[in-house]
Amino acid sequence: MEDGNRYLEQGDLGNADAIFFRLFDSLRANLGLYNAQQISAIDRILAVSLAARDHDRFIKYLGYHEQLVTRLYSDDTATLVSELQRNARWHRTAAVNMDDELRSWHLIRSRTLIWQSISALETLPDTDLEIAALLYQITLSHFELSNNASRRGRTSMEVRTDQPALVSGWALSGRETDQRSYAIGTELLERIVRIYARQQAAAETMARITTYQGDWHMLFDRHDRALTYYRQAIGLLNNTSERDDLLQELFGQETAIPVAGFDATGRYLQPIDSKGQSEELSQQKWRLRLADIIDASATNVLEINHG
Amino acid sequence: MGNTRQTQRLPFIGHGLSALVSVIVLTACASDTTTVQPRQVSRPPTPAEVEQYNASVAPEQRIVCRSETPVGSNIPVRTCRLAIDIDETSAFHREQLRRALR
Repeated sequence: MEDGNRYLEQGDLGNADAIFFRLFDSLRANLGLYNAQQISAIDRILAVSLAARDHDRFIKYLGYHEQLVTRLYSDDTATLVSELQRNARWHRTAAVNMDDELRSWHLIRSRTLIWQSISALETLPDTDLEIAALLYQITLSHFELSNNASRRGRTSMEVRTDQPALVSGWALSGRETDQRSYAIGTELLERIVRIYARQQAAAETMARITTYQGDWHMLFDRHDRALTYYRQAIGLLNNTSERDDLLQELFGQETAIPVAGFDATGRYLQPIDSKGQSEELSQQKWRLRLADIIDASATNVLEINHG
Repeated sequence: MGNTRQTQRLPFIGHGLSALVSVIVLTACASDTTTVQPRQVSRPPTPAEVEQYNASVAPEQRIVCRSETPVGSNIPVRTCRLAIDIDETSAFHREQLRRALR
């Protein structure tokens, strides 16, 4: 495995692939077709296939991974969720590297797998914060899809098929899908707020989520609603001891939106490093700054953003 | 079974207990119908709920929701249908149109 990884790092994809494939084959021969140890070999084969831009092979092994983990871990929800998320991450990584329809398909598959993870997590106790983080990922994927240059077949791949192919027939229009994405994002962010409110989160955390709600409306050019949420977030910060620092962090500088993600492990929401994937998948927009929020009437907010 | 054995040992308490249980069960049933029914009827699934459901079923069982403006009204109504029903309905309409044009 180490040799293969070394070859992969050096860009020697042929040798890396030979080593990982031999490992995969021997694990299946020795431990049976449905053994859990082959998962790490599959993960490496996926890395090599993506680096070699061998998309057909990548999709084949990704599908195999999904089927395998669903079969292996049907009674072990925690592991199933972790493997489904690994699969979703691969789809996202592929989306960054692909164009047009394949990009849409990877994003949609990633989102489907995250929803499956959420449905599984809902059966376990004390998973609210983890669910909140996943809900935010789904929210982001809706923005990325609505920004995607090619919307062709988006509804087809969401509703009519799980394959990377278009199925002809009835579909929603681009405007309808955008409206739906906006509605879903709004709804999911409200759900996140409810989750953190139930956890009796600190005012600082609630202010951050409220800011993300403002960001969401900003992304869809609903500036009036964004302004309302930003003002609400500032109001929440008034109750915190680190008010000035947080104001500076959230509204004192130019902040690219959407913020990449949540740290679900702690009680506080922090942006996580996603290696700029979100930026690559979406057109860049900016959060309003403090001075603009305080001074702005609805009219000059529009001027700020269009000017 | 447990109730029968208890009744044989303590007839008066047994009768009283079974009457009490009946009253509780009937009250629970009555209160269930009054509280649950309106919730079941009133709220269609939200877009996010539909998406979560769609993620866990086969393509033909997925639900599609859209705003449709009924004939004779200007007010759009959110309508949700199964993907398979949409296909069957459009096939039916195509067939009707073909017959009418024959």
